[in-house]
Amino acid sequence: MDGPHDRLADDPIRRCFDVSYRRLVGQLYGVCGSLTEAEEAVAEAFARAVAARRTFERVDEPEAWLRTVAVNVARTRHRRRLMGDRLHRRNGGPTDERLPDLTDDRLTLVAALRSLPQQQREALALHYLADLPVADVAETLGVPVGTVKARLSRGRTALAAVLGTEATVNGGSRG
Amino acid sequence: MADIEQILNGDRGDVARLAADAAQVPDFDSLARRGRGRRTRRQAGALAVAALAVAGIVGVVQVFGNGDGDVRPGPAETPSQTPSQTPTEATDGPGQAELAAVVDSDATRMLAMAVTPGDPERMAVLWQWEDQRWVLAWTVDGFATRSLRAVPSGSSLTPAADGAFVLREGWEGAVLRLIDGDGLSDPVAVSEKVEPVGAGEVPVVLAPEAGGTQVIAVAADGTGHPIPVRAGLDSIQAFGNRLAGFAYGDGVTYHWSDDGGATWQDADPGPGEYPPLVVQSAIGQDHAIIEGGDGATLFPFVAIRTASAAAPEQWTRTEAEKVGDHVTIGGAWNEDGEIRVLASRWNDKDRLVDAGVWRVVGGSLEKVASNPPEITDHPDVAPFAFEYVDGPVVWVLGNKTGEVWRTTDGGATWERFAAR
Repeated sequence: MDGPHDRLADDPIRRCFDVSYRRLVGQLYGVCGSLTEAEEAVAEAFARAVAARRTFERVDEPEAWLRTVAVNVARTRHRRRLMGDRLHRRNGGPTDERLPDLTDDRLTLVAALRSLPQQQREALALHYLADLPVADVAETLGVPVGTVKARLSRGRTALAAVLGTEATVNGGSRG
Repeated sequence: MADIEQILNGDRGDVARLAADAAQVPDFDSLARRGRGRRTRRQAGALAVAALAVAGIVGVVQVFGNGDGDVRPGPAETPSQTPSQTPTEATDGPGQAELAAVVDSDATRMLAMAVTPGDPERMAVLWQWEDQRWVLAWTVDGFATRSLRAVPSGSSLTPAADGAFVLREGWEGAVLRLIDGDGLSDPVAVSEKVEPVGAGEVPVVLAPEAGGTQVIAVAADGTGHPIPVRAGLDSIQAFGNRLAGFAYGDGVTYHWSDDGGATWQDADPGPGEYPPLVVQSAIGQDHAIIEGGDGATLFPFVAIRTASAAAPEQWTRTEAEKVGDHVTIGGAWNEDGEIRVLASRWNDKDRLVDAGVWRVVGGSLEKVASNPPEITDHPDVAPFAFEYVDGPVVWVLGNKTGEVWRTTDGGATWERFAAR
């Protein structure tokens, strides 16, 4: 007879959690610009998977489903935070100082992404920082591939302006 | 000056890898409890509607009653605590100062509420501080005075008859207690006899199990019994004396009972983009279900399915009108034959266009002006609780922690109430 630990190990959400949690946090880090926010968004995605277990167990690619949920959670929280910042006249930006072991240049890049419009930030972060193919980014964001490419293009230009670098027109994406 | 391509393409993926390495992994069991609690709260919130409806029409004996006309339950036989006369009553467990600090903090959040039908002065609210710490606050005088008590996480509330509430303790809900002005009762004595919801009883949904979901009818005298529920039924909710739920197999089957579980009917709404959202409809009203895409997070308005009460096997599907933006639904109810929703409309740049109360007309939405508008015209608008007293009563959270608002006219006007 299976014991409780065996049953836990058989839980597809638990298995996915063990395999995918860290990877998803890594992918969400660039989207959120904050390690803590990325962790919270991914944790919330798993909680929603438990809440919608039947839906989750029917999806073909659980990690992709979780990534979409986490991005949506991050987006919603970002809106709420902006609203809260406006209401309380706070300055936006992450309040936690826990950082990945990145070079200063990469940290600057992540910080610069936060200043971009949400759609461009999400596309750039998922494609370049998380190294997802354009098709996967499109699936995650629920938009056509062409839309992602357009956001990447506009995002590169906007990011170059923020970083004070030069943009290459129509380049960079390996789709 | 560096090329942006060099910056973006250099060490591609390193940011995600290093962030993954730095991630702190939470306890999965805690996340799972959070998820189960959310699912349970959805059900409990919906059942609270049924409870309010049952308690609110205890005289309508042809629905849940036995026909003898005497629907008032007798006095509780179980012992209860003696209330204090202090503004914040003493209970066991953590100190009252500690509980009050949780409830009164701006960082706390409301998880659920229950109101005695037609008497909003009698209210019970569950507050959460951090993940494992839940506090029950209840009042019989609009929170001029209140009682506080620590309760297990996962607990839920259902209004009962005689101004009491049913507290379902913990995620599993093995223990039910009655709460009233005198405090908490001993556990409800649940018999093994399965019978429909009776007069003066309220249905309380227990946590879903492998074989289905158990619903206990609880009377104000501290007794209860299971009600007949079809095997495999999930997402059970109720409104205006109608119990409804879904069974998920190859598709979605909608089940409902208009007689307290004595008989159940079912219908196959047909293929669609589910999970579904039930439009809260009282007994005798038409049926309606909103399709919500994959339901991953925000509930998109994909289509609405309707069936008349007279011919519930014949469903009509109407796709949401595409007008260049998209709509997310927070909740829906039947307002005197008209379907109303709390919803937000977003443009293709994911910027909020409008939010608030809408009436569903075909596949499109028409805005209903709300007063004051700031209560509903924000992106997170959603029903917090439903009530049924001669019609739907919808509750939402206020913009300030500790306040709730209700509408009794379909969302046109809103009235504020203290919640702590």
